Amino acid sequence: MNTNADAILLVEDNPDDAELTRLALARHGLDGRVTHVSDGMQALDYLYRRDAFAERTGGNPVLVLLDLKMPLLDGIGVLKEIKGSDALRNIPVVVLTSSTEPSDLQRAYDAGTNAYIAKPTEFAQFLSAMKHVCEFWININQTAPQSGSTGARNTGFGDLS
Amino acid sequence: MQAWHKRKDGSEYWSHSVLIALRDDDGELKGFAKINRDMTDAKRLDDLMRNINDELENRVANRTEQLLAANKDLESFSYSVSHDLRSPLRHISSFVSLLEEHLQEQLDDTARKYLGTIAGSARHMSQLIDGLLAFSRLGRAAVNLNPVDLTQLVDAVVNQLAHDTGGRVVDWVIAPDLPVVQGDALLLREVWANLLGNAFKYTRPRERARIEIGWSVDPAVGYSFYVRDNGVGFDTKYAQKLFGVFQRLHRPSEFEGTGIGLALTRRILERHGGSIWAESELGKGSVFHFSLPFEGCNPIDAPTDSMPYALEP
Repeated sequence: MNTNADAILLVEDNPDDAELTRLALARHGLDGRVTHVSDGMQALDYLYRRDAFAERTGGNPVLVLLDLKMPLLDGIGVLKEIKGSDALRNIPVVVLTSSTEPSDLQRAYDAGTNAYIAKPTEFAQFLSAMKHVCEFWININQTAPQSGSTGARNTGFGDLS
Repeated sequence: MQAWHKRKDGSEYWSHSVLIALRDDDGELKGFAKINRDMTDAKRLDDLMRNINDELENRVANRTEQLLAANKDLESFSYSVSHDLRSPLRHISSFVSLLEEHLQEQLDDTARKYLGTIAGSARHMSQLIDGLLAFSRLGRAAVNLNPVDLTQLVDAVVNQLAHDTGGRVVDWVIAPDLPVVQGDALLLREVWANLLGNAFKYTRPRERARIEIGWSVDPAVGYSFYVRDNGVGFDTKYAQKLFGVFQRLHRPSEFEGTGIGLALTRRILERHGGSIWAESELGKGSVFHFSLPFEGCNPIDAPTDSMPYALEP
């Protein structure tokens, strides 16, 4: 059994954004479940248990919250890596970005994201958008099969924005 | 044969020469006759034309390159606006509400008012950025031409506005036979929503507002439409300024708005090959006219999706 089978991986280079997302998740009762990494390379290191995360125990996160614009490796790069890997493909990914550009939305869905949230300017609206993420988290943790390294099999996850 | 020849005085001339074989009655070759014609002037003119043409072509190629670069810059700019300006704004807005929550009872009225101003300004700036993005996106989006029934479209827009009049009395006078035009239905809806929305907004002080929609055919330009209202109007000398981005003739305290609507409207109509103009008298109301060509041509059609990917490091 995985020790952190219910972990959420937050991939976000901006510390203010990371704090806001953590706060929003905490409001919906998901405090302490979040692992935060600051760029795409770190995200892959975490997922593949490399370098700083070589000693990491536990299985795959049940949810990845992914920023798009990041140094070293951007969100689309991470997304392609996750969705192209047999071991990681089933982890649901939610793109969490400032961008409202239709082309970014298109690129994200083309690369296989499960949902796309263009973060609203106001915190109240952001909170309500994140509420959907949390409901989804609860949903996959109730229905996820107990065996296997991946907690989630849910692929019918629509656009949350 | 054409070549440069030298005259006896040493000067050069461009010669067209014809060489003719001379034969006797039996066909025996007796010699040659050669006629040289001085074609220097014609040659000079020809060379000049060629140079001018070459230079023009070079110039066009250079300009095109510059324009493409400028266009790309503009796209990068709008991309940055979307990504990079919205983030800090969201932080300001979010942390202000968190601060307000955090301090709660410790806040006095003044502090509360200041925080409210910061939040309001962030909200306003966010609207401006969204407007700017919508405007720049429009320059890049494809215009999908299809037959659009304006009777239905205008009806839908008017219904939406009339749905929430807030107790106001508005007489809508709509020509019963608006034509079916060639255009992009979504974009044309935006045009009517903006023009009718403005007419609705700027007649607010009137006890009884009157908004009139009509059209005519002008063989030279195509369909010509107008929206006439009895609202507050404006000084006609500012008529062109109206259609610029973020240009407003009223204070936000009088009439809300970001100043992007008419700029968007103009851009949509231009992308359809049409145009827009307005006339008004202060205090008496305004008339907005716009034209749409019969065929709905796209004189300045932009590429469908050319978002730069290069901004990521």
